[in-house]
Amino acid sequence: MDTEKNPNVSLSRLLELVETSTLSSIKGTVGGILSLISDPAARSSDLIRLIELDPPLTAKILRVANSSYYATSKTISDIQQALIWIGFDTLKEIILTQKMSELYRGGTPACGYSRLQLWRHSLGVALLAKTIYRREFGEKGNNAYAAGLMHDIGVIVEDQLLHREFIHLVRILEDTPQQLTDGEISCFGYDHGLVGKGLAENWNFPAELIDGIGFHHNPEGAREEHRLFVKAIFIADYLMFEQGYGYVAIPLPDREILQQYVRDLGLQWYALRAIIEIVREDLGKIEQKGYLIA
Amino acid sequence: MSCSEADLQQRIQRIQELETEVRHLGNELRLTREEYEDATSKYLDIYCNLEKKIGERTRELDAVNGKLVQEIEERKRTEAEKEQLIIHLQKAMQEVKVLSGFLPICASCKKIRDDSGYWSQIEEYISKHSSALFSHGICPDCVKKLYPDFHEEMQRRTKK
Repeated sequence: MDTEKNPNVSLSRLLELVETSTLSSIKGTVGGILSLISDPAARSSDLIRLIELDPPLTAKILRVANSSYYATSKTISDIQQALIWIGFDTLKEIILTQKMSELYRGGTPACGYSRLQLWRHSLGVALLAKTIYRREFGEKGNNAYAAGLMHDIGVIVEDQLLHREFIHLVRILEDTPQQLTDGEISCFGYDHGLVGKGLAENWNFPAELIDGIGFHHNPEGAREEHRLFVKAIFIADYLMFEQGYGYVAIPLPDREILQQYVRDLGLQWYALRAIIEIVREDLGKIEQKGYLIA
Repeated sequence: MSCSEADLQQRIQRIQELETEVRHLGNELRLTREEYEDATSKYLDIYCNLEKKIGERTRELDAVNGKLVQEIEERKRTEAEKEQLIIHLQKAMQEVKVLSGFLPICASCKKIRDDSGYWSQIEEYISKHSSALFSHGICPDCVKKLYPDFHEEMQRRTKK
């Protein structure tokens, strides 16, 4: 691949490469599902039509819907039944999770980094962000789940398209501990937040999600109306790293920033601890049953 | 009974935790109820669509069925016409068969002998076994032979 020969691939060139790579295969379904998530008037028929465009996805959805994780009392044999038995919102999450998981397959672990670890982290952030929204704010948190799942999409782009340089960076991070974003900027000239933001803009993701992906390391840079949302993603990201659901050896940012964002969102630590416990249980169940990568 | 400051703090913390748990469960319950209502409405949506689809399909099938009945009638009529045609053709074939092959004919009077040994006039035989009709006339040779005077008179008139 030409990018491996050229260590100075610009951000715009990298985003062009995304469009011609296998990464772009998820664009249609993911774009469609994100529109449905952010549209409160979305109909079940819209979701069914979207799934019908991707036949292998139907089989995967039915397998997940029939798994003991969802523990439905009857066998689900078509998407309409899945819609009724496991719910519209959960079905949207399953589809998004299934499509996103396709990007994290393969790869060889190096210096504590692996695509599986990155996926496990993303899933953890998604579940934590969603549970904060549900339990604390009494909102469904579908957007928070999507942003959590996709916040590090820039990392997988770097891993897949700038593989050699990325693995080199992972080795540097192991030898010289520093923030991932700092290491990326000295290595590539941009960080995974910018890569993810560029991809999200090119793929016409909703504005809230673009900010969630682009500014999850720097929520203050997000548009004011999305700042609290991005802070929730920052908190979930930080806490999952802290809980051992990281993917690369890096020091965590200043804890005072985390404390400040927790206050900004009006969260209490004892409430957050209870939520973390629920998410750890959920992730444990997912890993135990072998559903981490579908 | 008095309790220590630490004990009091512990109790306050426990109360806060329980309050949080109740609030969290309250939120989950409300969201689950909303999701249940949403699932019910989606179910009804799918059910109504299904009813509508069944109605549309039934109408389509009725229309196709009507066309098929019409087509079957037409085919039956065509079959009957074909059968008539076959009977007609078979009859014609039989007649052709009778008039083909060797016909025993008298070398002198030209009568034809049929399968039962009866001798018929040639025109009678052909009229019976085909749709040909005969119109009688007389040829010039027979005029000369049977009516020599009349023949001579005709010759003279022609020369003039």
